[in-house]
Amino acid sequence: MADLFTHFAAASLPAAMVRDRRIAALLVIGTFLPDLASKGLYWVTRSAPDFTVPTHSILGLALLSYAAALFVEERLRRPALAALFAGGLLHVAVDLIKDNLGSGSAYLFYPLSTRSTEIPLIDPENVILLVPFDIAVLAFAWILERKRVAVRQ
Amino acid sequence: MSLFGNRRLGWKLAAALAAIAGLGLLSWAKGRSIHPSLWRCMAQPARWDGAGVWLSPALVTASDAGGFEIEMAGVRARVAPAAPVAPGETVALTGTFTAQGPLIRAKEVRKVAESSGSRTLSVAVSIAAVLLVLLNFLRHFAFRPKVAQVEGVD
Repeated sequence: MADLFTHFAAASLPAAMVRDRRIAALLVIGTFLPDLASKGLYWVTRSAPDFTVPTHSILGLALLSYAAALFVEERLRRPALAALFAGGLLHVAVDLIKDNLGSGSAYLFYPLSTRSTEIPLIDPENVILLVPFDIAVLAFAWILERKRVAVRQ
Repeated sequence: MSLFGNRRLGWKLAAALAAIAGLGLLSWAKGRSIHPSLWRCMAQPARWDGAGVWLSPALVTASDAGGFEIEMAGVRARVAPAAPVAPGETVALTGTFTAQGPLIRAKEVRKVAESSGSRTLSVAVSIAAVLLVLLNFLRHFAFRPKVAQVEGVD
């Protein structure tokens, strides 16, 4: 898992461009969904690590997003599902750049395939080194959002 | 019946959670053979001969010119070829299990920092990020129980 702050920064850019702030909030929540589910299953219910594989697959994310969207008011459920799912996909995309010695951190097409994927760019033991980059991304997202609000006014 | 309507909401939620749990059970069953645990390989070497393994964290217990020895959950195994690791260090490795020996032919080996300050700080930053996001989420989605509404509480 790339640290959650990195995931938060990655989601902030697309969220800054969403007009409805509730949907933007759901997109950011969606980016935490895979790790909240997998770490929750592992640390709270003491599930075997293999049991948590679907939380980082496309089908598993769709089901998780649908379940989470059911907690939102009825008229917002469709856009909520889209936002949560998009956030989840963004999370998995960020996880793909983690160097897991070639074993990958996500089985994207599970259960159709048990092939894991990775594009090893970052050392997962030192993700804290990404914080300055994350802060720069958050600052850029904040500027984008300010400009969007200013244009609307 | 709409997937997003309020009719039979509980059933829809239960179905989604059941589907996720079912996928989890399937991956747990399959996962035992995709990256078998070290103890499985050592218990049935003939069955797991040629299997790809991903082992982390593994404690290095001995090291020499030909390879090194690791221990995981009380099970020891020989790894070849040699790597720049010393006894007492923790590593993550991928490779192939060979019944002859038995032996693990390592493909990649990486040292893992154990409970370093960097990892602790990373966890703290992650938790802080989640809490901040949840606070912002509550700002947009207020939960108002029906009982409170009936009693006129804002």
